[in-house]
Amino acid sequence: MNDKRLSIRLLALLFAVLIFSTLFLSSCSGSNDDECTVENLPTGKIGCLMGSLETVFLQDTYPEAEISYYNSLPDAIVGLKSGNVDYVSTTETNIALYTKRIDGIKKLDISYFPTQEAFCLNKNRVDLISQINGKIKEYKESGRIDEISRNWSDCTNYIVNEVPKRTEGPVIVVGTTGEMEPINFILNGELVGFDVEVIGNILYDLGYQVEYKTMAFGALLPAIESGKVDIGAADITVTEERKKSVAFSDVYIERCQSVIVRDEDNESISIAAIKEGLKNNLIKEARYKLILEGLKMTALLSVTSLIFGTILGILLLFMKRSRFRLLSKTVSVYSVIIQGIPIVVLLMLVCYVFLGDVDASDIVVGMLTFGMFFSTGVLAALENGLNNIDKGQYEAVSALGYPRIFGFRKIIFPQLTKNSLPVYRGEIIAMIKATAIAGYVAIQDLTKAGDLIRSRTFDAFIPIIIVAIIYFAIIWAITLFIRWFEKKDDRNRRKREVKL
Amino acid sequence: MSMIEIKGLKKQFDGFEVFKGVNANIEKGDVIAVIGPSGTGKSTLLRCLNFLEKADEGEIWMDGKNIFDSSVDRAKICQKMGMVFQSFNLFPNLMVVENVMQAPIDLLGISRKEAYEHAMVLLEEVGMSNKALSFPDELSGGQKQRVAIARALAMKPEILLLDEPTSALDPMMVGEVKNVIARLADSGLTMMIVTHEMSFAREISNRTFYLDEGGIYEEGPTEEVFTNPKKPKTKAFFSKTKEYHYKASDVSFSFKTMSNGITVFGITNSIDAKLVNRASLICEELCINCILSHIEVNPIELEIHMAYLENEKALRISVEYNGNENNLLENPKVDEISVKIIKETSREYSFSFADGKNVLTILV
Repeated sequence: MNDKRLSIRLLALLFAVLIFSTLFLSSCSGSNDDECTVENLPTGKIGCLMGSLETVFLQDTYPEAEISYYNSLPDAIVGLKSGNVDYVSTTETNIALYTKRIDGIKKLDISYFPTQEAFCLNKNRVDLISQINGKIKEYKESGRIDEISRNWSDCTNYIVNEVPKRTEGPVIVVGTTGEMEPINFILNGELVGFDVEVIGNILYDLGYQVEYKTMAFGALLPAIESGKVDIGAADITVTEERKKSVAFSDVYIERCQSVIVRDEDNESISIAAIKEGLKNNLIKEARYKLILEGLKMTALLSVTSLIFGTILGILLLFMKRSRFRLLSKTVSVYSVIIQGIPIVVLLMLVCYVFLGDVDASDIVVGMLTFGMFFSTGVLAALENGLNNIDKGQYEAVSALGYPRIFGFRKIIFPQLTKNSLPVYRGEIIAMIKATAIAGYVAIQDLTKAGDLIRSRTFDAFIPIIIVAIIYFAIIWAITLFIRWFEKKDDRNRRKREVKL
Repeated sequence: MSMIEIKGLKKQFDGFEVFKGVNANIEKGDVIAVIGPSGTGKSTLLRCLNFLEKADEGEIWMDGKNIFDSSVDRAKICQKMGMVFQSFNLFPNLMVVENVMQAPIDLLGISRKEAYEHAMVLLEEVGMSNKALSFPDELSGGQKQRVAIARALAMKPEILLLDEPTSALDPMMVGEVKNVIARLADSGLTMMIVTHEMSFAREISNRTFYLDEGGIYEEGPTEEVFTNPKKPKTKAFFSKTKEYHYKASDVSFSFKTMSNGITVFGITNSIDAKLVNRASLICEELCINCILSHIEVNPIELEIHMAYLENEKALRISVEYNGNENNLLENPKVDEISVKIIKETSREYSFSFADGKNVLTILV
């Protein structure tokens, strides 16, 4: 009983520490002055997108600038809000979008590092370049580019004009990212945006059929070079370096960089703010449903992996103990491979290589990955149990006249549970925690649900804390359950009555 | 026809030939003692019979069949041979009575009730029925071994193989197990027992296999082999078992080796454990507190000879050490308590000095 009370107290203490650290970290983040000007910009830490062009500019112009790199703008904004950086530098288009969407940040009235955006083509498509350049000139003169740009400038209400499409004529493959709102993005399941509208209309005018391919920005230029994509239309800035590998059309729009900072007026640290944060992260847009669905997915992944992994693990054990060297060697190799690959890489291997051509559901991908991961743990647990069984036990079984497998099942196997359960318990917990990476291949599990909420609310803490608490609760419950089972098992063993 | 006939059995371990061709017959009702120096394959012989070791060559005939034939059901053969191990090998997850009844239920297809009743009869026979609902880890070594015997008997074997059944036991527990085995021998059960306890072997067996030189070196009725061994190695073995020798210098002296040696000597000759303990104590005091701490020569060389005087039920210990004449028991420099312990535990003692050798002879 004392144990239980102690664990509850520990749990409470842990949560208290979590919550206080949240408050503390949030309150620490408010150390920025309002009168930020270009002059004192470089004194702070600047957050930039990984690989974006202005980083070079910033490094040249303000050598003393401290730059942090982020994979995505939402991440950078979370970094800004949590005080990891003091400014986030990005294009004015992005700033217009995000300052409208997110509370607690504002644009500084500076602009720098003007860039020129153009379409990207394979160097061999000279004919196509001149055709497109003609159209760009025409659109600029007629004011059509500006008109399209206006359609997409108000980031809350877009004016979506349908782009006409041809069903005949030569096909042009246009590569874009689909992730740059409002330049090219998915709205109600359709690829839309400024770039899409411009290139769509130009190609229609020129009599081409258009096929879109979305890919990561980094993959665009290689795809154009290799000819898999004819035109890249993704707000691509013209640079000398890029000119070495691809050809550019004429510039169709110019953009500027600016910075965003925290807007202190809009943020207060209080219980009310935390309440508001909880409401915002859970209630608004029924976001708790994301959590529930994620939880369901995590549970489903865990249970299917548990069953699959356990069966596979037992099978592996029999293979490993088999008299056929080939079988036992196979198991050894399998264990080394599974344990030697990071679980994320294993997940991607299963998803993109083994099941690359198969239309497998998320559950199947997850079950295979985490089941395989878990199976080596099951094998280890069973082997640990078996190694703890004295050789004399096998000799006694054999000497009594049990056939090999029958004796193993009747006498040896029942001795296994006691030795194996503690290790098995550890492996289950490790496996459940491992499922948190499922989001890597777009499986929407609990962790991914937290990420999704975070990418909408840009709240650095609350979604993560919620997810952490849920994981902790699950694992706590499972630990208690298996311990209870171990104790019950032990009591059953010691019942001292003979069933007749 | 013999019950079991061993023909040309060969076995080697990593190039070392344990058996160079063993031939033997085991008749129904035989109680065979398998004795010999260590490393001569006494246990291996038993273990080859029930497939715990794989024989390299040879035949073992039982019930008109060569049990090494691939057509023979080995599990069935094992069921006919009960095995009692040195380390008991009880199933730790099962209660005593379950240990005894499990195999008959699984293998002989009898009902749980029947198996239980039979198990209780057997446990009664070995004096363990009051522990039927205990778990093996709650039993002493002697109790475990008695349960193990009951478990082997539950399969109604035609022959019982006992592999050093008392070697792992505390000296105090040996008696109870020996009694059970002796009763079984009297009941007419065919048995084959590997043991280091010569007097016990002599007491219960009607035939003795003396193993040496890669096979059964000498074989015959127990009384004959024990009292009148024909071959030189057997003779040497029997004379050696009656004495214990330990020789060491101050550098090589190992208390553990000495006391283990004395214990083994005691067990081999079935000497009363109390007597052995006393002798061991005297040797310890004499060697460590007297000789090694008070003899001023370099190097110190000492020798212990111990012999069992069966008629007097006494042990004669003589300790030789080098240096000048020095009767340590009368030397005032020597620790008084040690001397007192030695004098009080011994029955008589004497001292002599000759050729630079001090000899203390003590009778316990």
